[in-house]
Order: sequence, then C-alpha cells, then structure tokens
Amino acid sequence: MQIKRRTFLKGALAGSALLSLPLVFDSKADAREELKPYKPDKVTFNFCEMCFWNCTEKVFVNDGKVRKLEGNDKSPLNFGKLCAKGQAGIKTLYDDNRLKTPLIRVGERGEGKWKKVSWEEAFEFAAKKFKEVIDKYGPETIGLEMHGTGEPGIHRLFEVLGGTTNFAIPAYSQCTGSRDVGFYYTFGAALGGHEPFDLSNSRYIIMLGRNETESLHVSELYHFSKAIGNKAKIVYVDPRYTHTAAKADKYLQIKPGTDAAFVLALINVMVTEDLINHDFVDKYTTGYDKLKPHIAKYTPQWAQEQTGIKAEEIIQIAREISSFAPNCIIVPPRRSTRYGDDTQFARAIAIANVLLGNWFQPGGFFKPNKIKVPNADMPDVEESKYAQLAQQKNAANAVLSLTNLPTTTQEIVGVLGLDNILWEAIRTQKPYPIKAMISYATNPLFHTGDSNKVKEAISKLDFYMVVDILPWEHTLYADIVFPESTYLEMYAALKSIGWKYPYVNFREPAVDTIYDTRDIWAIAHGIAKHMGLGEFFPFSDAKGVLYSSLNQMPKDQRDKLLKDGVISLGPIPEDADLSGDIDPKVAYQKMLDAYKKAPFNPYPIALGEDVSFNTGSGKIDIYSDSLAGNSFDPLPNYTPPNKPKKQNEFRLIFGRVAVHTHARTQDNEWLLEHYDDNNVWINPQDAKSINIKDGDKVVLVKGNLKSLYPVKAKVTDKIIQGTVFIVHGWGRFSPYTTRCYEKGVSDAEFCSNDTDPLSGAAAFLNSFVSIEKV
Amino acid sequence: MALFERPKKEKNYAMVIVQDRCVDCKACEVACKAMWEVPDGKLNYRTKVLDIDKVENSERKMIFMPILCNQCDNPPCVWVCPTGASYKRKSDGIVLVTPNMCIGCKACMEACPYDARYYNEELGAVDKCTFCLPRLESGLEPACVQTCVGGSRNFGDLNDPNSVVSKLLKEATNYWVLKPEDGTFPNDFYISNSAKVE
Repeated sequence: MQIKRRTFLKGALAGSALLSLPLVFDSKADAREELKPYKPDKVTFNFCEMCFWNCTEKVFVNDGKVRKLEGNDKSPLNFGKLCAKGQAGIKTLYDDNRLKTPLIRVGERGEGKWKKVSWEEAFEFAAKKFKEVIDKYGPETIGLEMHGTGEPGIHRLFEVLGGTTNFAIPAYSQCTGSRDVGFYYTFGAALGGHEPFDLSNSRYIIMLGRNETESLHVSELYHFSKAIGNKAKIVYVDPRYTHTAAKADKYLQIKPGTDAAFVLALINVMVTEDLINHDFVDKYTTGYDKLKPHIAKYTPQWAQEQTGIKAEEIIQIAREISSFAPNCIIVPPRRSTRYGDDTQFARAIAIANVLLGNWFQPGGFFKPNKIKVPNADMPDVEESKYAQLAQQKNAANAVLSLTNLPTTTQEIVGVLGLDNILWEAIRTQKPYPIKAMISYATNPLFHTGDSNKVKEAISKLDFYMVVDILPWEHTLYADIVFPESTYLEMYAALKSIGWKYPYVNFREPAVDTIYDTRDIWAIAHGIAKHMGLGEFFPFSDAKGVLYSSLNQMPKDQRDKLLKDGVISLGPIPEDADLSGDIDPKVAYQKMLDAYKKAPFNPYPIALGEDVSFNTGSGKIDIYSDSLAGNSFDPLPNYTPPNKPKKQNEFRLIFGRVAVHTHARTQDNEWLLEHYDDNNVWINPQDAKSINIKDGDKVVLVKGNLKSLYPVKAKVTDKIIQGTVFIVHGWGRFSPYTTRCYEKGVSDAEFCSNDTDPLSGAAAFLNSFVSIEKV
Repeated sequence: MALFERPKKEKNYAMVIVQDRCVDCKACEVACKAMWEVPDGKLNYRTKVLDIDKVENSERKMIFMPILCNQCDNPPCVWVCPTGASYKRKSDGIVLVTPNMCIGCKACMEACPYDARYYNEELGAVDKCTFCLPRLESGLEPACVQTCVGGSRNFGDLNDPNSVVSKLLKEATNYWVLKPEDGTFPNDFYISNSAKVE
C-alpha cells in the first residue's frame, strides 16, 4: 500500500484509538449542514462523441452551464456509465482553444495563418473551389475522409458534389480492416465497430494485444470486468505488459509479429488432440478435412521458436479453452493493422474460434441486433447534376485501382474505403489527380503511417477543406476550416447501432452554441446551397434531419425516445449471472429459455435455429475457395515478421491509454491531468546497450527523420527486448492547441506505410527506429 | 459477520470496492472532479486510483487500488481539527468539513492515514469526499460509483440487509479494510476474488 503517511502524529493517534471505543460524535454539527441536495436545473439527452462507442448519456445543466455528464442508465450500451474521456467532455465544450469561426487560409500551407470570415463568405469560398475543381478535373477528383456521428451529413454533400468512391473512414485501413476482412472470408460477416464479443458470459478469454482496459469502450470493458468477477480465466498475450495484462490470470510476453504462430499452434493442438467441437464443425463449416493436414506443421514446439512462448503453455491453454467450449472466446484484436499478414492472422483466430463452436453462443460471439429507424425524407442524391456527370464519366475508383484486392475484399472496402491508399493516390496523383479533399473530424497527420507523405499529398491539392472542433495540426494546412459545434451544443440524426441489445441513440443540445459554430448538416447545407444544390438538403441543420426521422416513427416509440433519451430492447432480466456459486450451464439455460420469448435473440445457434452464412457455400469457410481463386492462401499460413537492418534499431509499436481517444483529446484539461506527455518504453537490456537511463531525454530517429520534441525514456521490462513502445496521439505541433503543444513524440511520423495485400489496410508496426539521447 | 461492533447510526453508509474489478480507467476521478468542481491541478482529488507495481514469485503484478475517504468511525482528522470544522455526522457517519470554520492548518491532512484530503485553494479550506451526500439526498448514487466502468465501486447502507454492500460483504469470502492497525474503523471495505491487497 503506497499511501503517503506522515508519521509525526502517529503516536498520538494510535493512543487515541486505543483509549476510545469507536463512536460517532454527538455533533450538533449535523445542523450546520451547508451541503444542499444536488439537483440539475435541466437534464438533456445525448450520446458521447469523445470516442466512437457513442455511450448514451444525460447532461446535467446548472446556471446555463453543463455541470455534469452521466451515463444514461436506461441504455444497454453503457449501463449508466461513462469513462474518463466521456466525463471530461465538458472540458472539450469549454475549451477556449476551440475553432470559433470559419477561417480562410492567408499564409502558406502549414503556417496556420488565417483570416476570420463569415459563414456566407466561407460557403461561397468553398462552393467556388469545388466548382473550379469539378469544371477543371471532374467531380470524381473530390476525396473525403470522415469519422464520427456526422458522417452521413458530410457524405451526402460528397455524393451531391459527384464524389465517387474516393472516400474513406479511417476505421477500416487504420484499425479494423484486416480483422474484418479475415472474418468476412470465414463467416461472411465483418465484426464492425461494436464487436459482438459476449465477454460477460465467457468462461475463458484469450486476448492477443486487445488491450481492453486501455483502448476502452465502456460496455465492452464493463462486460470484461464482469467476466473477472465471474472468475473467467483470462489469458493475455502481448509484447508489452499493459493494464489488461494486469487483469489477466496469465500474461504471456510474445515476440512482436508472431501472434499468428501462437494461434496456429493452438489450432494444431485442438486438431491433433481432437479437442474440437465436432457437432458445430460438422453442421456449419466446410474445409475441416483440408485444415487437418495443413495445420500439422504448426506444432507447439515450432511456435515456441517463433513466439518465445513455451510449447507446454500453448498446449495447456489449448486444452483449457477447449474444455469450456463453446462458452469461451479468442478475441480478434480491434486495431489489427500491424504486420501486413493481419488478414491471415484474423483468419487463424476465426478458425480457432470455429473449432470451439462459439459462434452465436453465450460467452462466444453473439448475433448483433438492430432496431430499424426511418431515414430522414430527402431527395435521391443521384439526381444531382454532378452525380450524373460522374456517372457519365464512369471514372474508375482511384483508390482501388492502386491495389490488387480480390473482389470479396472490395465488397467491404466499398463501404468503408481505404484511407491510407487514398492519401497515396493524392500524393502520386495516380491513376488520375484528386484535386479537392475534405477531412471531417479526423486528422490525417496523426492517423496515417507516414505523416510526411500526407503533407506532401496535401501540397498536390487545389483545395483542402477541414471540418473540426479544435485547431489540430491538419487545420494548419487547410484552405478553409469550418468550425463544428460539439455534441453538447447540437442535434444529431438518429443513431441505431447493432449490438447485443439493440438500441437507438438520441441527441439534443444541452446549451446554446458558445462560439460561432454549426453542426455538420448545416455546413453541408450551406455549401450545397451556394452551389445551386440546395434542394438536396431540404433541412438547414441536424435538427431538421432528426425530426424528419422522428416524425415518421410510430408515436409510442418516439415518445419513449424523447422521454428516456434512448430506445432499447434489452437487457432481458434473465441475462445470465455467473457470479456466485450457480452452475454456469444452468444460468445459460435459464437465459436461453428466456430469449426464446424475447423480441431479439443474440444466440440463434445455441437455440438451435437455422443459421446460414453469407459465404458462397452458405457455411463457415475454414478453407476459402474465394481466397484460393484469387491466389491467396486458402488456409492461413505463418509469415514471420521483418527484421531490423542495423544493430540497435528497435521495432516501434504504439498503443493507447485509458484517458485519451486517438489523437483527439490531448487538449482536454482534465484528461491531461492524467496523461500529459508520452515517453519511450525500452527494455532494460536494450537501454543498457545504448547507454540510456530511465528518465533520460531522447528522440526517435529513422533515416533523416528525427522526432520534433525530446521525450523521457521509460526503462522497463514491461516491454519485450528489441521493441520500443509509445502512446499514440502525441508529438503535437499545432501552436493553437496550447495545452499539448510541443508535447511528446508521434508514432504517425515513424510507422511503416506498408499494407496488407489481402485487405489493403495499413501495417504500421513494420518500422524500426533508433533512440538517441539529447 | 462484522469486523467489530459498529456504533449505531440511522444509516451506515459504506463503500465496497471489488478490488480485482478495478481497471484503472480513471472515470471515477474525472467524474468526482466534474461533480464537485475540484480545482484543476494534478494533485487535487477527492478520490484516486493507485497503480502499484510489484513482483510476486518472480511474476510481474500490477494492482489498481481505488482509495477515498473511509468516513472512519474513529476519525483521526476530526480528533486533530482545532476549530471543529471537521466533524462527523451523527445520522449517517459521513465526515465533513465546514469550509468557513477551516483555518487551513492541514493538521487533518497529516492525521489522515489514507491521504484522502487535499487543500482547496479556491475554497481556502480543506476538502474531501462526502460520499456525494448532496447527490444521495437527490436520490443519485455517488458520482464515482455511478460511473465506475469496471463495476468495482459499490455503495449503500449496511443497515439494510438487502443493499448491494451488505450482500457483497455477506457473500465475500475475503474482505478487508485499509490500515486496521490504526484503529480508525473505516467504512470503505475491499473484497477480491484473489488475494488480499494492502
């Protein structure tokens, strides 16, 4: 216990404790009570935008100011809870560094010199620029990247302008792309942003670098914590000892880039020792017969060489998890954009789970459910003259033409886009020039693998438009910056998300806009109107879009939403409770019986319903004909990670802390109190070899590139030898975000720009850096 | 089973912390800070989560330990207060500070074995956790409990056998308080599936 203790009073206190029995003071002081009951003047409904889990919340307002944010306990998404980031949303609202008016660039790109303009001027300027680009190069040369709840608004503008498929949500190529493609090839379903992991009902959980407690999403973490309370066994595998490792029963420090070897060896043991769930495999899968000979070479002894994890450990874990099948899970990591073979790694995880038979089973993967909500009544974007022009030109997708992705992959890419390759297309201006680009609520100088290439790409643009709430680094390069209102100041279109318990989120402003900002629907509307396309935005802001949907809803549903701030169909009261001494089988059965009568069902396979899969075969493809047909490995093989070229070069890996979201919360005062600068984690043996001591100021070096600001070295055996770790989102160089300016080092400058050939998504961790003392 | 004979109170508010469910996400600290407008600055917290690194049987361990005022039944902070600003409520045992009676001598901060108090420059007085008494009176849970993402923090009345805290203590095979040797008789209890942590 490391509580600070001043000792000089200790004697006296111990004396008093001995002399007096514990007693409650008979204090008249109860009457002097100055603390008045806390009551908000006003409560409004919202959902959090501090990260993309979008937890449902209530906003407590006192004296016209947002005083407190509280999770909405009626929401099955977060059960009344908010994380530190969510709680700190107030400080983003009241951040005086916010973008306060529209800005037009007057200096060079990167200088950050702007003039303040009115909204009318801003709309006119943007409209003029878009027209120029369309007239000169065609509508297909407009690009868009976007992230967050406002996506439909800006995407609609993009479509109305005749933008084709040159758009991206970074969540694919920078985060979940390879994982989702791997699952798509196996189950015919991507896992998506709200993962269907039934952690709370799981009895054995293996996590491979899925740092649940620090890359946290509220309900997922809550369910993970419930699993801890239920005494589920947790195995955590990572080159770095994280907070999640601290919660695991077993932590295995693995050599980076070798996770696939670990999983293939698990499969090997399951197959060799016949630990597989035959009922499930026989009924729902194809290709198991081909897996058997394929997996023979991936023995635990072989995996020990690759991973540094003992063969006996691997054998024991395979046996243990199989004994809990199907109520167990090997969690496919969320940001699996690591080493370029990530899709096959995801396939390996998918197949290992298939052998456990945990699809649509308690404790495995549940089936997401979604409530259908009416769309706002708006005209078809394809009627727009620019959309029709684009259609006539039938221009190829610039991004896809730079890749050789199989068509099945392209089905997913079509929905989410490839952000890394979009920037590469802009940089190279191939196969045709992309001349206008919009970044909505996402900062390409921090989410890509090589930010200097993005700077180069921006220099090729005729027009770069940014919409954001803070003057982050990419705004310095923008020709125009539109200031968006924060989520606490605006309405939003209805948001229905598929998860275990279906729900619909609702947002209304808690306070008036503090600065001269607008919501994304108002911004898109303004630009469209100035281009003579106003008819495609019949509503002048998000409120109009929201109420158009609400007005089409059945009355009882609408009333419920306005009264509770959320519509949800769960959880059902019979949800399994595995804490205490209850037999899990009994608990599961009770829950399944109840779900037979419930309006939604997360466990159709457990309930014996007919389930077919959106693969060519209608079954789960252990062996993928589709991959074979495209000359990719139809069964996952192991690709060893790359190696450093020189001595004393270290693999650079990055991750998160629980109190920051990516690169978007580093200016938040309350979150800065908990984490205000990153440092470089280095193993003691590595530190010794390059003569670095704990606390030394260092910079990262890669070729001619040196990190902007020195940071401290953290010498710790929590990181494996040969690897250095930094927290993502630092190395901030916008002088306008004053609280984090010049703090930390950015992984985005040093990561590799490689891609996974099967998904097209990034492979960030193939990069090596050296460390220099300053 | 009680640790010792507790004095009778109308309400016996208590916090039961399931220590192994704390994930060190800091939601409690930020929620508390927002709720009570605790001045910005690193050390000003009414509650915090300690990270403790240790090596056990050559295995690395990291333990997360939520701490807050224990609302002690024998509160050293109250004993040492020269003005009577620090006091313990008879009705529910919550220990409070009356800011305008506090002269800022910080004797209570020195006396507290749990480092649960801090000096609030804006108030010009020592400040501390109140178990969110003003929220309790409006039917809300303490802010830290309400938002605890791991479900580690639990709050309720030990006089009520059906309260979550009574149930947790009743079912726990292993519970403990911090620094029992100091004779403070805390009202924050810790339980764990795994070993006791001190």
